[in-house]
Amino acid sequence: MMIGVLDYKYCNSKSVFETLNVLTDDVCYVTDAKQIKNISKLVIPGVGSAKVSLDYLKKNGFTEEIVKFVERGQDILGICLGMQILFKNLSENGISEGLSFFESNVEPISEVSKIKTNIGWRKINMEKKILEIEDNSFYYFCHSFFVELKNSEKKYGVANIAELNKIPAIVNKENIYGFQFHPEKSQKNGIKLLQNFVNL
Amino acid sequence: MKFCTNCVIPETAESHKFDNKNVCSVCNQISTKNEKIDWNARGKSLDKLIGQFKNKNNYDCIVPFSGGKDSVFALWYLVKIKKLKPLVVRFDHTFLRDTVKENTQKVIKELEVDFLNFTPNFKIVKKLMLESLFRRGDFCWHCHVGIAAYPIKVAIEKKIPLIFYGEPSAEYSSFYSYDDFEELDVEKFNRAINLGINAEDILGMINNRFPKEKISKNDLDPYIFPSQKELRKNNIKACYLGNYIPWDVQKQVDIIKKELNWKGDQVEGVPKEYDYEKIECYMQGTRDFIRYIKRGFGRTSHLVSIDIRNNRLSREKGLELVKEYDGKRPKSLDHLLKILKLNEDEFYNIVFEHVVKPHQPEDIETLKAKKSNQTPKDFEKLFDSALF
Amino acid sequence: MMKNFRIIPSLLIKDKRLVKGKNFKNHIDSGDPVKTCVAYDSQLADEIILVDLGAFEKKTKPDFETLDKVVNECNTPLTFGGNISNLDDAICAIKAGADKVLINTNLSETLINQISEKFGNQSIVAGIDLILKDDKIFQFHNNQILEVNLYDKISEILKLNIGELKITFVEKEGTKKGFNHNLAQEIIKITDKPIIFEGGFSTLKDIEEAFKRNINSIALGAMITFSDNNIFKIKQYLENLGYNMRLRD
Repeated sequence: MMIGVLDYKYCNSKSVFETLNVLTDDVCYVTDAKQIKNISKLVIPGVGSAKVSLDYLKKNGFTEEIVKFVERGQDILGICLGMQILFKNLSENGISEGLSFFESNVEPISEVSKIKTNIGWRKINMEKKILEIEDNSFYYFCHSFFVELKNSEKKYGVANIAELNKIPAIVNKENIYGFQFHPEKSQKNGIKLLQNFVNL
Repeated sequence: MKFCTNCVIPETAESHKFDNKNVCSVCNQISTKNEKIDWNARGKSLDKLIGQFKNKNNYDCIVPFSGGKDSVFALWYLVKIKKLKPLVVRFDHTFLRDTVKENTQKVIKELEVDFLNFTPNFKIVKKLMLESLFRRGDFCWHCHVGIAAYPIKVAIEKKIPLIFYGEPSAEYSSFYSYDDFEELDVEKFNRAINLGINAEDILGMINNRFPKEKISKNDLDPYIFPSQKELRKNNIKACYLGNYIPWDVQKQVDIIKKELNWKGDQVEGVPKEYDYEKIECYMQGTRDFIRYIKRGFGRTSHLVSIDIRNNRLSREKGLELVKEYDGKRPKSLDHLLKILKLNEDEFYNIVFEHVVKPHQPEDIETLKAKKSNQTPKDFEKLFDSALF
Repeated sequence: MMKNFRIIPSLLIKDKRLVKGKNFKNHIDSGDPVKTCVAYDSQLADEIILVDLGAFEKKTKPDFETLDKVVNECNTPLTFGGNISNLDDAICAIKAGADKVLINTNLSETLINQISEKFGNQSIVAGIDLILKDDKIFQFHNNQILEVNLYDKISEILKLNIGELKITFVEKEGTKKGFNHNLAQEIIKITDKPIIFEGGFSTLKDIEEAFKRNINSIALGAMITFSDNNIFKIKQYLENLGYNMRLRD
């Protein structure tokens, strides 16, 4: 069982890797698209920007490999930007096309709230139970964009940010998981969550 | 300053919270312990835990030991009731009293166990004491850290991953509650044990203060706590017996007195009947005096509060005892000053930097004047300068 | 909306060790960067700010190696700064595991746009050092002290594509003399953007006063380095007073 942490150049793959490595020895960086065939779970980290990252993934053959990986039914986890790129259109620095595993788009937070950037620890409200996450637990967020779930896709919303309930905190569609927050920077809650993903 | 309406602990205590009736969180934790925990289920978890580790190595577990009531009871319980073969490990903080040393000899012979005692370099201990007094108003860093880190290092080195401490911290503080299965991991070490200072931190600090006698990281090896990754890779499980069986100090002291001829001792600054707690260290009186200066309550407050919570004492009687015993200037302070080469006024001024608001300490002259008239008999011999 | 409180240790690195001083002078050893950050992680610090003072003073490359080691053991959001002067520095910081970069001396539209293009604007904290003297406001920037108009200076910086601001009251730094609440109130009137305040916090009451007056993100230096206060205990104190703090996970 090997967990791959995708390194798409302008991102923070390291924190995710190191956190997983405290939990298991079976983790590696994925720097070449060809590696994706050989891993059992894939994690896409965040701290990046939509346009630059999606261009990079397309140019280096990652997009197709990730699509095939997901079609094989293997577990994939996207964190922050990593979650957002799983969706259709992202609007940071112009419109970029995401991996389109979902049909909803990614929009600026300012559309649904007074604040432009959501930085800090927020409680999340779980609408469904997954990965043993407790309702009303804290996770760390740092983002200016969010996934605006279409009505037809609201069923994939697993949790919202309690105070900003139009912003999904967790999405899940079969083998696809997305966290808007950073579990690798959410101390004990985040570590427990990653442990549960490892154990899936 | 606000005081708990049930026990006598004030708001300056380290991790206490108060509910809307001004009852402190530890009092509430004790009622949880008695009423809400399913101790049968916990007992089964203990057997399951032991089953995972028993007979896999030369020793079934490590028992970190001091010779005080908690570690003696834990050892007795694991050997006599659970039939384990432990390696008993003691980090000697330098200030062990005679009674506790005698207790140790009796206990290890009676329970037929192997005992490993480690005494660290005293010159380094003195530097650590001074530095932590300056940085945190607490000279016991080497002890807090040594008794936590050293047994875990032995566990890793000798491949004995299961470690049983005794008393769960929920008995006296609110860093962890009874619902938590407390473990001594990196989080607890940094939150509740090491004053926020690791060996790697204090290394630079003491080299700064003693530049002509610099030491290296290797010299502080006994105090280095493993990283979370190392703990995981070695499967270390450092847990607390008191999470699996209901901790009952009175009952346990009676057992060890009867079964092992364990003896209590007179402790500076507390009523004579409290002869079973904190008997290990002859600097305890000064430790408690410092807490009194910083936070406004001493060891007697702590002890009567435990009795109040367990319905052995009324709050009124508790307050009387506190008034009589807390805050008396202890004899052991003379000895601390000699070891650290400080004069008494310097000592007070250092501690005053660390007072926890809203408590306001008395002035130096008042503190000096309230001398304790209860010096334990073994102190004269111990404070003989030839020993240090 | 419920307050999003952040209590943030603010740490200075020099020659691979943590240091702390007063008014940016007389620095003494304050510990090992990795282990200290691990301690704050365990104490539920909401974020940590790590600034390479040595790089700032000597105008050298920031110490990414130390940052890298800290991130290996610490699961708390990290902001890194100290002479971050070009895009490459920011890239090194994020790849070493920082969540945000703190830019002060080298704040410019070009640099900010380069970084936000690659990593998003949420990854940028603009730092401003202010001095209040004789009722005048000065900015300490690039080793110079120049009088500024508070409103103009802050508005100018807000035009950049940044995530948040960090404002340090420099003459209070390291002194534990008390935080300048009035000046902070002036500043929060100017913008809705998140602002982290630092400089002079000395007591628990000081912190409570700030939170009472709508400051919700504070950075602490001397107060936690030189005393028995730890983040967990500070939060416990505030919770006892009725503030909703992130205390249990």
